[in-house]
Amino acid sequence: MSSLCLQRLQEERKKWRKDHPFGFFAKPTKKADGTMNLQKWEAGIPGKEGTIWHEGVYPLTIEYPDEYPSKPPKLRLPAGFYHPNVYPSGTICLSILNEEQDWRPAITLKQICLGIQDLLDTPNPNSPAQEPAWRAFQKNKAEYERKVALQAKQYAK
Amino acid sequence: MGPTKIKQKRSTSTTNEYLDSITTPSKPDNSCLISPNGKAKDSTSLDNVGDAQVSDESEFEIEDLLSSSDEFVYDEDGIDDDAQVMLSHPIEEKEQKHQKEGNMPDLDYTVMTMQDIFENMLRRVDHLQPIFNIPREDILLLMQHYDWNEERLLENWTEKMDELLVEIGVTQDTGSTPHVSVATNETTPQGKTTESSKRGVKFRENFTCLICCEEKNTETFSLECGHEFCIDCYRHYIEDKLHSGNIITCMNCSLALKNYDIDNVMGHESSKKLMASSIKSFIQSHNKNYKWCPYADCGCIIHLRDTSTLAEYTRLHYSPFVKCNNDHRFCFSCGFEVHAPADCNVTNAWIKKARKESENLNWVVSHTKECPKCGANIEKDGGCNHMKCFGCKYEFCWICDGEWAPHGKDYYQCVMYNNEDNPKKSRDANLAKYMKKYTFYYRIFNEHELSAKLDWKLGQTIESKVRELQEQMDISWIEGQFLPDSIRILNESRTALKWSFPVSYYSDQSHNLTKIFVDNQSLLSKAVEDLSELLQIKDPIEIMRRKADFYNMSGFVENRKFALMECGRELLCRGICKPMD
Repeated sequence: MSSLCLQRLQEERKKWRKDHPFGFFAKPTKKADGTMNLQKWEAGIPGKEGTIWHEGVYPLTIEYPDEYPSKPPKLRLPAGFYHPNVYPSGTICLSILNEEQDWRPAITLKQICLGIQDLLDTPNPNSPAQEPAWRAFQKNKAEYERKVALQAKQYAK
Repeated sequence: MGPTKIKQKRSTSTTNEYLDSITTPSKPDNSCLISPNGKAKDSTSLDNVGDAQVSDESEFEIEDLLSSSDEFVYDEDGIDDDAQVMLSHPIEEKEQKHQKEGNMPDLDYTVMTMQDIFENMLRRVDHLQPIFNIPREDILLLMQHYDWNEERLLENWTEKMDELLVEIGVTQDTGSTPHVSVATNETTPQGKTTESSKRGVKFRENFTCLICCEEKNTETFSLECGHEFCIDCYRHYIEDKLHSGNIITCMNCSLALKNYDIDNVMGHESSKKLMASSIKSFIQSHNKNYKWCPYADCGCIIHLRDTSTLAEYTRLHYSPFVKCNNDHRFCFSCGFEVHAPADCNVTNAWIKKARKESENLNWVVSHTKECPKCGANIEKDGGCNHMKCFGCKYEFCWICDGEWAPHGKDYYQCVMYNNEDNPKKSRDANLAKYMKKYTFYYRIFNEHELSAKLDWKLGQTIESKVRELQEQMDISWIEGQFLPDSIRILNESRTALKWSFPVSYYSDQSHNLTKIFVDNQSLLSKAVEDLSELLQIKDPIEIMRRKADFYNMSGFVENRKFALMECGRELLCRGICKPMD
């Protein structure tokens, strides 16, 4: 791990502990030997109040590559997560997480988490990552909302 | 050898000087247009660049550039231009004549380097400048974004230029107008700083960088957007992006770093790296017209503007062989070495087959050999096929294992595929039981490849031989050139001979023309071995004494090679040779 990556992640942690948006959590995972693994984090993203997502807190895994912050972290929701922009594997398709697109080294963990929360209720139908949720979102809103609400219950706070 | 020259301004580390070198219309490129017969003509027209339009304001730089050109033009590969001219000799002319008789359509191509292509791009940018009316650096960004596709850029430009400038990151979203075009050579450093005080490298005390989260006294960099980060972080970031060839943006927003920003942060050569990556991807996307020289570490690019002639080549079973500035010859269509008389189809079929079969037997068969008489293991370390066993003093031919004596005189039997069983070696008999024919041809093919490699090695020492002649015999350099010429002919003929075996392998063995082809192979084999033997002579006095032999022999070999190539082509044209698996 490059020192830049480590240094930045330590600072991200410090900042997060000092101040993070309400209802969110994020912490580095533990390695087998009990030490902290700063390159892999676990986080929880609450659904926005007043949306069909609000009941759940969705578990998110964040993996930082050695080249971070030049390269974006990789974000993953649980496999099979029901959302038009989440791949069957759980990988999230979001332009700010794409090095070729809108990733900037200055983007912080807080921005990422808020970005994901935002994405939950405002999917981008132009870059579908899975078929069922995308199709339902396009063609059958009722079905889509039912499934999302069901999923929210599954991940209830 | 214009294209290999790299024009470079010395000590151009500051922003403005670098801009100058970007905006200076470079000297018209005298790339050689080389027709297949090796004749080079000077040409200044390249692509749709037009002749670098010289605007009034840049006249000064041109003179400047020309007057001091010696200072910063260097020959990348060290090939002396004059030497190249002098190298054309009678034998080569003969080759030209032959090829004209063969009605080979002309292949007009240009040998370029990355630098040449980049300079072309810069000239295109110069061309666009009066239309766009924005600084050249900005046009460069636009071109880079559009993968150097001028048409598409122009189309979108007329439609939505302001949006485009924001999209590319030339201007900020906030509606600030693009800086009006100022001929860049008029921009003074002072003008630059007042125009955009935020842009550039600064020194700051107790600066906290949001990327590395360190507080330190450091240099920082920012664009007009004011997103300021420490220079170390910016270096990391840029270094990571250089290979992609894409536009590099601010670490916090989409404003683009221009080449001089990159050089400011990283040091002078870095934006060149980025441009090189961008041009590489351009070549990749235009691989019908541009081909990299396949030889290791050769940076030449062949540009064939009109690919329609290629169809004619295929129809006549010629192959579009091209030669790069480092004298590497290869086939433009398949990217393989010169493979005449085989065409690309035969070559591909043969190589595919060789790959398929190599696992079981070819390596074994082709790499070792026992003396046919005493069975001692023999390794071949010279180009000639005339072998003499150290143990039993038996003289034999490396290819057919037969006695050497008959080879030296009238007929060279070993190119004939012998249908009768030849239970000479048990391991051969076992391995090759069901594919004896292929094994036979593959082995000959391989032998010639090996010989060619050894000949090539011999060729590497030839310069010193010539020098020896100069020193010991008082022979002028030009007079000694028959040696490198002979080596070149030997190499080319060996390659032709090598590739003639796939042709005979795929040919109808019973056809009369195939037999003639085999006869031609024999004659060339014999001639090549003789020439190879001649070239083994080490004594300078002996070499000079037999100078006429060198001339005669290489001329003869050249003739035979051409005859073989034409005969092979006829086999292909008449459908007697049909590659199949």
